[in-house]
Parts: sequence; C-alpha cells; structure tokens
Amino acid sequence: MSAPTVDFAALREHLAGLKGAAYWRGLEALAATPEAQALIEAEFPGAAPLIDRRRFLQLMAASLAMAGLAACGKTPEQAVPAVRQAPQLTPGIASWYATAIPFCGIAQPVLGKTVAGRPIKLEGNPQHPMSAGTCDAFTQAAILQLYDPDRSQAPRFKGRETSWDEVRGALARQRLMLDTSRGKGLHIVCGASSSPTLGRQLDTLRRRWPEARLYHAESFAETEALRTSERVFGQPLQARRYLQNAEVLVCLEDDPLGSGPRQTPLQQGWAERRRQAAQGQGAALSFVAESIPTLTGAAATHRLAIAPSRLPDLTLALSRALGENVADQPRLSARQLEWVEAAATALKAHPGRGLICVGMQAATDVQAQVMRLNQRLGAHGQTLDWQAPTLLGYERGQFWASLEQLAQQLAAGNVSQLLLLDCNPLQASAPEPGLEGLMQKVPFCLHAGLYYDESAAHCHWHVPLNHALDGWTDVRAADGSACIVQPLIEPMYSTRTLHQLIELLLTSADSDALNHVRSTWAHVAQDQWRQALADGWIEAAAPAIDAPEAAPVMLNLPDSEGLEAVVRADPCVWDGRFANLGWLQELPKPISTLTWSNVVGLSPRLAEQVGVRNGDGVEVALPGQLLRGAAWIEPGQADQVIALYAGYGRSHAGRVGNGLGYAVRPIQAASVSASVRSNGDRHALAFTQAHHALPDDETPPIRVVPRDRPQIAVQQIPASLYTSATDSGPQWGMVIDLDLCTGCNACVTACQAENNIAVVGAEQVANGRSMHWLRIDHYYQGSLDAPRSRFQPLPCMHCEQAPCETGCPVNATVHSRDGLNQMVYNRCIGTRTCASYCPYKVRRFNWLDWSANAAPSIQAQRNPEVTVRTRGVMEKCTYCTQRISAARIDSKQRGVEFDTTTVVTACQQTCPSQAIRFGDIADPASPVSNARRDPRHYRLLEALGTRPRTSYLARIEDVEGSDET
Amino acid sequence: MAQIFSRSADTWLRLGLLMLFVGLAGGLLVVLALDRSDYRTGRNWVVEQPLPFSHAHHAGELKIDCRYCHSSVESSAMASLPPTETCMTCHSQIWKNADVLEPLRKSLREQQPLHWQHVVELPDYAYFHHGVHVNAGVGCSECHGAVDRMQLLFKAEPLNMGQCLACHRDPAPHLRPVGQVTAPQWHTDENRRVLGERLMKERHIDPRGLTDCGTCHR
Repeated sequence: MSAPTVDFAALREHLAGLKGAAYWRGLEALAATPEAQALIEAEFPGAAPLIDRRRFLQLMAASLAMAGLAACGKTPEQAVPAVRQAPQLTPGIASWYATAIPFCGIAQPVLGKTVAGRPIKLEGNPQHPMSAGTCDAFTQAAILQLYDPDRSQAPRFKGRETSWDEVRGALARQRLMLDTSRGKGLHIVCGASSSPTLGRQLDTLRRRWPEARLYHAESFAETEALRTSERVFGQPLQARRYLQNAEVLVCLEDDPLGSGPRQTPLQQGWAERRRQAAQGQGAALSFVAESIPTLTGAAATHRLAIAPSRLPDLTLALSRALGENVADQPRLSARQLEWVEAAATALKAHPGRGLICVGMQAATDVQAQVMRLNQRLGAHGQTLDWQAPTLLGYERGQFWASLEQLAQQLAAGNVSQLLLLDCNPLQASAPEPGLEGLMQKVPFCLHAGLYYDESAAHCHWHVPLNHALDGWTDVRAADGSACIVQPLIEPMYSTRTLHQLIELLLTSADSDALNHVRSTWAHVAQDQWRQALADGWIEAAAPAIDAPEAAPVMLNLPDSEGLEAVVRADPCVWDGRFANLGWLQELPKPISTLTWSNVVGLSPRLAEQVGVRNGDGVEVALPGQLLRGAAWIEPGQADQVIALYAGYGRSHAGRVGNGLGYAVRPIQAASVSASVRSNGDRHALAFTQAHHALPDDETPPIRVVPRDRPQIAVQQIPASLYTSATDSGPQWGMVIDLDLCTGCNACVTACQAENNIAVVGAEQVANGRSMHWLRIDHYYQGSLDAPRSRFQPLPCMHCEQAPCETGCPVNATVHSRDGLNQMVYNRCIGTRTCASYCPYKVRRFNWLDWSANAAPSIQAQRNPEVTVRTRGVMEKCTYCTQRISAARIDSKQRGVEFDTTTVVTACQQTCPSQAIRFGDIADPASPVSNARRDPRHYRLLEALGTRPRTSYLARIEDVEGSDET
Repeated sequence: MAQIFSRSADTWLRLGLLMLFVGLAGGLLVVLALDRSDYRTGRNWVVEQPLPFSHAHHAGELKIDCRYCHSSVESSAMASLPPTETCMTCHSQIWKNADVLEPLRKSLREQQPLHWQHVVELPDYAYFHHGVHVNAGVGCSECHGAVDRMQLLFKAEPLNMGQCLACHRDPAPHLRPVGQVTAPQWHTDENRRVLGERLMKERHIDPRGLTDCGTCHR
C-alpha cells in the first residue's frame, strides 16, 4: 500500500478558484485532511502522539513519583538576610546594569535586570542607537544560556574533570616550547570577535611569538564580503546600512530582516521607513530576489524566487538596467527581467535613497558589482556608509586564515599546539572532511568554550569560559561603537574569561578579569569609565570612511543545471550554538512554524517531483556530505533549490539539543549542486501551523489596505445589551501594527522570559500544547507556488465582553476595573471551559507540571513577580499585569498621579519594529488611543461582539497581487 | 407474606439520614472553624528563632523605629530583615560578649547569614507589597499587632484573605497619618472613620479597584 500523497494539482486548482483575500495556514489545512480538521476544530487537538503508549505511561509514572505530596502541610520558609547589605541594593527591588551580549562578534547592547543578585531578564539598552531599547529573540534567550545546566563547569583533560592548576601547568610547559620556537607550531582558531581587549592580547602574543598563526572559525562569517571590499576599495571595509533612508531596498539573496547579529538595528531602520511612508513621507519599496522564503521576502513589495546560481545573471541585468555598460546577455526569463526592470525603475526614481543588499555568501564578483552599483546610485552617506572592520582578523593584507588552510597545516604536520578559542569548528564551521582525524596528530590541543561540545570532545584539554553575563570583556556594536560587557553575577562555575586564559598562557598568572578590560581602556579616566559602565558604551560609533570609486566588475556567469542546495543558519538556533536552549528550540520558526527539528525545504513542484509530503524522509547528497532528514514543503521556494538548515544533528549540545534533526556543514558559497531522493522514512514533526486556528469569519484575520487608500471600512458593531464593565481610571488596550511586524519572534521570546512560560517538548507541541502566551500566526495568501506570507501576533484580546469569564464555573477568570481579563491561578480547578469558549484560542492549559522539574539553575532565571504555574491551571497573556502593578504601586509610593505611559509590556518593549503599542485608551492623547483612531484600525472577529481590547492596524500594500517566480 | 422491614424501619432510616446530614454539615462547620482557627493560621504561636530576639526590648523599651532594621519597608514589597551588620552597629559595642548573641557573632565571623524562621508566611500565589501599604497609611501594628510588647514574636492577627478583604473593602477605619505608621501604640481621639476618609481624600486612595482579584493574585 503506497503512502498517501499530496494532490498538488487539486490544491492549485482550489487556490486559483478562491476569490478575495483567502488566507490559508499550511498544506494540511488546505488539503482539509481529517487530521487537519480535527486540529483546527479542537481547542486542544490531540494529534497522533509521537510517543507510544508504553513510554507515555513510563513518563506519567515518573512525573507522579517526582511530584510527591509537597503541597500538603506547611513547608517552613526561612528568611535569610545578607551579612552585609550593599547600600545601593534594596531587597525586593530590581537593579539594572548596562552590558552587551556578543553575537558573532557584534554587540547586542542590553540592560540586565537583576533581583536578589540574579539576572532574570534582558532588555535592549534604550541609550544605545543599535538597540534603542529593543532586542531580538537570540538576545532575549541569552539569559537562559547563562543558567544552562549543561554549561561546562570545570576544566577537563581527556574528558575527565581536572583543576585549573593542572591547566596552568600544562600551559606553562607549552609556553617554554613556544618561547624557544618563537611560536612556530602554534595555531589559534577564534570564533568571530570584535573585542578590543582580545585584539590587544593577541597582538602581545604575536609580538612574543611571531610565527604563531591565527584562523577564523565562524560558520556564517563575513569573510567574503570583507575580502571583496579589500579588492574593490583597497582596504577591507565593513558596511553600515541605514534602512530608514532606503526608500527603495533591493535584496539579492540577502535577509536583513532575518535573524542575525545586525537584525535589531536593520529591522528598526526598516520599520522607521515604513512608518514614514505610512505618513506620506517617501516610499517604502522593497524588491527581494531570494531562493528560500525569508522574513525579508515576506515583507517585500516585489518578491522573486530565484536560484542562487542565477544571481550573477540577475546582477548583470540590474547593472544594465541601471545604465552600466555590460556586454553579456543575462539568461533570465521574462518574469525575472520584469522584476529587474521594476527594481531599476524604482531605484532611478529615488536617487540617493536606494540600497542594494547582497548576501554575504554570494560570489565575490557579484558582491563587488553591488558595491559599485550602490556607489553609482549615490547610496554612500545616505543609505550606506563604510567603516573600518570591527571584527578582529581582517586587517589589510593580513586576514586570518581559514579552516581549509588549517586542515592543510594539520595534514602537513606543522601543528604542535592547537587552541580553539570560543568556537566549535567540528560541529558548526565548514571543515575539510577529516578534521577530527587530522587533529589526532596534534601533540597539544586545547578548547575553550561555554560547553563541552563536539570540538572539546576531540581535544586533550577543555577549559570552561564565562558567559557574557558573568564575565568581563568588551565588544563592538554594528556601528563600530565599543561596549563594555560587565557581568551581572559572580561567575557561576569554575570558569575564566578568554582574557584570563590568554594571560594564563602568556604568564601563568591568575589575573583579574576586570583589569584586562580596564587596561585596554586605560586612557579613559576613572569617572568616565564609570559613566561608560552606566551608559553601556565607552567609545562612540566610528566615523565613516570615504570609499574610493569602485571599478566595474566582469561578472562570471556560471552554468547551472539541476538542483542546488543552500545552507542557511537556522532562524532559531543559528549555527547550533543555541541548540540547548529550550526556549529557542520550541520557538516556531517564522514561516514554517516548525519546532524542535530542522527540515529539508523543497518547493511544491520539487516535492511533487521527488514524491514526498511533509515529514517524509529524504536523502540529500552534496559534495562531501550525505544527509537524511525530513522533507518540508515550502510554498514560495525556488524550484531548483533544496533548503538545508544548520545547527541541528548535534551530539554534544546538552540534554535539550542532542539528537534533533540532521547535521549539515555550512558551505562557503551561495549554493552547491546537490541531489535529493525519497528514502521511505517517516519523521514526526512538531509544528504549530494548524493549532489555535481562528473560527471562520466573513472578514479575514489579516487585513491589507492599498497604499493610496489606507483605510478600512467602518464596521457596524452590534449594540451590546451588557453594561460596560469599566468606568474610570486607566483602561488598558493594545494595538499591533501589522505593517511593521516582520514575524521575527522577539516578542514571543521576551514574553517567555518575563512570564516564566514553560517549555513542553516536541511531543506536546505536536499535540497542540505549546505554552506560548503570545503566538505569531502565519498565513499564506495566494497561489501555492508563489504565496505571500503574513504574520499576526496574537496575545490575549482582553475582551470587554469576554466569553471565558462567562464560562468559568469558579470565577477564576474575572475582569478588572482597568479592563484586564485577569487569571487567578489559585482559584482555577482546570475545567477548561474558558478555553473552549475563547474564539481566539489564546488560553493555554498546564496538562502536566512542566515547571517543577527544571534544573535549579533554570529556576533561578524565573521572574519572582510572576507565579510559576503547576499542573491543572489555565494561563494566558495578562498584559504583563506585574508591570502594570509595579508602575501603579510606584506612583502611589511617590504620591504622584499614575503616568500610564511608563507601563511597557515585555513584547512591546523588545519589538525592534516597535509594532506593538500599549497604554491607556481612556487617555485620548496616548499612543494607543492615536492608533485606535487610525483609519487602518480593526479588531479580530468583531462580529462576535467580544469587544477585544487588543486590536490591529492593517498592513499597507504597494502593489496588488502576489509575487512573481 | 412476612414483613421484611420492621415497623421502626422508617424511623431508623430517617434518623440515619438526619445523622448523615448533621454529620456532613457538622463536618463542614468543623472544617470551616479549623480553617479559621489559630492552629491553622498560626496566630499567637511563638516561632522558634536562631536568636531569642526581643521586640519588646528593642522596639518597646529602647524605642528603636521599625525601619531601622526593616529598612526597605517603605520602598519595596519586602519589609526585609536586618543584615547581621545592622545588629552589630550596637552589639559590637554593647553586650558584645553575651552568650545569647553568640550566633550573631558567629554569623559575622564566618560571613554566613542567620536563618530566621518566617512568622508571617503568605502563600506564593498572594503578592503583598509593603511599600504601597506603608505609604497609604496602614500602620505596622494594624496587621502585625503590638510588636513592641512581644518578647518573642508571634502573629497577632490571622492574616488570612478574609482579613485582607475586610480592609480592602473599607480601608478608612484602618488608616493613620503616614508619619505615624511606625509609631507604637498610636491612637487618636478623632473618630477613626472620619480620619480615615479624610486621609483617603487627601491621598487620592480609590478603594474601587482594591477588590479586583488581580490586585493580589497574579
């Protein structure tokens, strides 16, 4: 009996026949299979369990055994004051410290909130322009990484725990040899870093040992871009992009709005442009040519799905259309040429306000040509400027070497001492095959990192490093400004900072972590130093460098036949460094809504050709790699492209991240030729696409209005027979601007961090039991092969006439005087009536006690202002009632009137687009009241008469219809 | 045919049902009474502490203000207990060799804090904020009783939800001028309700939102 297949033809016909703004949530929902119907109709869908009955009973028995009878009887509580209370710390009041989280060598400036000596939350630093008070999902999750119980806690020698004295002794012996050999044989591999202190220390090291060699090991590095700029401009330069000035943005296989170290400032700039355009100040057009669906493509006005091998032809066509003298003919289809014409016309119509972005993995000549085109368009000084590279190892003429060159040195037997500093080349980077084998011959091999990961397991020595939140270092932000990374807590384990380790190698001295950083900035006076620690940066952004004129580039047009594979960083775990963070594993990936696994992305046509549906096993063959994974159909992906995502298939990630998905090594090119075939396996995938679907309504959930007439027809709301529940005092409401939301997931992670939301695991997510209070619904709109993607964040609506309040038999959910729908956990008996009454499906039930068995260090992260829920109670978004309470109490304590603009919910605070507005709707001057008067304003499921306090602003569209392929 | 049930069977049945009903009702009353009893609320039970600290001596005789030790009560949710150093501000000079204070000196010597036992313990799902109450004019002794007359500390009030609600529904009789919040044995000749209502007006205390569940249970 053959496996059921997807009837693509029928789906296409069905979609073509739909009129109006028909939204669909995924292929299963579209195909209206019986499973999909069950998922959609039930508030608590019970999909086929991923675990069998025997294992389920084992798990239940285990959790019962551990639950115990702790609730009965009084547990005596003790009050333990300090021996000496620091005068600036008041018990019960949080302290905030400015610091930064380095990510791929680029600082994410944050403010860290600490309570009782423990950091519990990170927020963007409002004073730093690269964050402006916001941050992305990775930065929000960094706090969990500090407390990860699988972090390396002690040095190891050949896998067994040892002491730092042993490490010191071993390093001393190596130092003697190195002093004799002047560093010949010493090869140091570093992850991307922009630390001035590390730079200073490596300079000292190289002066002492001139023969030592340095290498980069960063999976999705900017090396190609910097090498290209060195060729084009004579010196390596790093770009700074100002999307707020880019009225026309052209992206060639680039994803500025997607996850990455520059996501926050780029997304802020993009959102600022959209806000300006909505007010009639200029355009906000974006032309995106990409191979796989990304957030930038979802937000684009004109999207083109194209294979990466066609990128040189596309660039050639664009060059010609912009007036460059090109002889070759690009080999493009009519549709592709149309896209190019539209992009070029737009760029010419907005001189000086356009920007062409190209992916950092693109071929060097494509990147060079784009640099020239940007110059010709007058982008310099407006939408783009150049700075000296902030990242270490990119000095003119002396770039650090690559891992391929390290492999050559290893093979030649030239390596006597190998140091892997804060990198994981055996898992993430692209080594030559056999790097593990080659490393066996090295007499001394040391790995320094946060985890005892795959690279550490192959080294003799492993030393644990501090996390950014418990160690001193410094790092540069995307604009070149230098931030001091100050710890928020004493080192949690027996770790050292990277600077202390290098000092140990150079002198065997136990040094003070702070002194290393302070010495780098010794020229800064003490009071300025203290001011820098309070502000969050010590050196302002570097001035722009004038770039000389770029010569025209002869583009190499490769032939391409057959399929190509692209390897991308996973939007939730990047290159695998976050694989052990439960929050990020459970975060639904923006477009596919998958969790806990990676997939092999195929376009609908390619999937039809290969004969697979979602979850079927496929085998993908790349040069030097063969991997087996689950197929996933990505509507909108280019037909010749196989999408592979790095960061999974790990063996030494920790208890959360091991053994998920398939492993793929990143390739140092835009794409490679590959093949794919079905292998008959079946994988169970946990995705949230069909969960919590809204009931059918006449009006679509996401409203889109044209640019020239951005208004929604006023709907007649049925009159209500109920009296209004709220009469005076602040009335809370929220408006989410769908024109600004990119679907980046920062708000979901921030909510999880703020509200102690539990991680439930893949099986439970598949059952529709994920606990995210705020979810981002993703909808496709349009045809199967080239749809638009739309995102809608959905917190609790806090309906004025809430059906859930009517349903609760024990009054555990009640309405407050200020308009909140409150959830009282201690009253809830778990009938789940409220959830079945809620038309928006925002309520989450604790089917199991997901919080009780968390490791003690994970428990330390929890917010003490928010109850940790146990089994059997309902929970949902509370509009961050703890923050409202804290602000109200603060105003009462100071005896002033309650300033409602000081209340900021977690999701609102972190959104880099600032798409969420929250505040007092009874105050006509508040931002949220202004938003409610906007002509684009609408509410979800208005006809039901729930009168939700959470509402939306429609998305503005510049062009009609869907994108081109 | 022989009768299965005797003549008195009905009576027995009715008696049985009555006993059942009385038993259940009585059981319910017992449970409710127990729930409010001092056994359950811990009222008037002295709690054993690492040091026999006497509030009667320090707060009553020496007239040390509550806030000298419970220093965060005006600004924070927690009243907080004094760190060892606060005790040592005096006891490094006076009674510095007393046997009874050995745990205190040990704490300072070994840099290990003292582990006090909670006298008032609210469940984790109730969030109480000291600062807002103190700034509203609720005196310390309203809830904690005459601490300045307790040799060893015990709960003077049941501090169950009913008591909190009684005040939240009608705060006026429980308020005093903010400057007198820590004053022991404070009394006034003015009618408490009249005074309280005047204070509420002066300080814009609006009782209407105080009985929302989410005020304390979030």
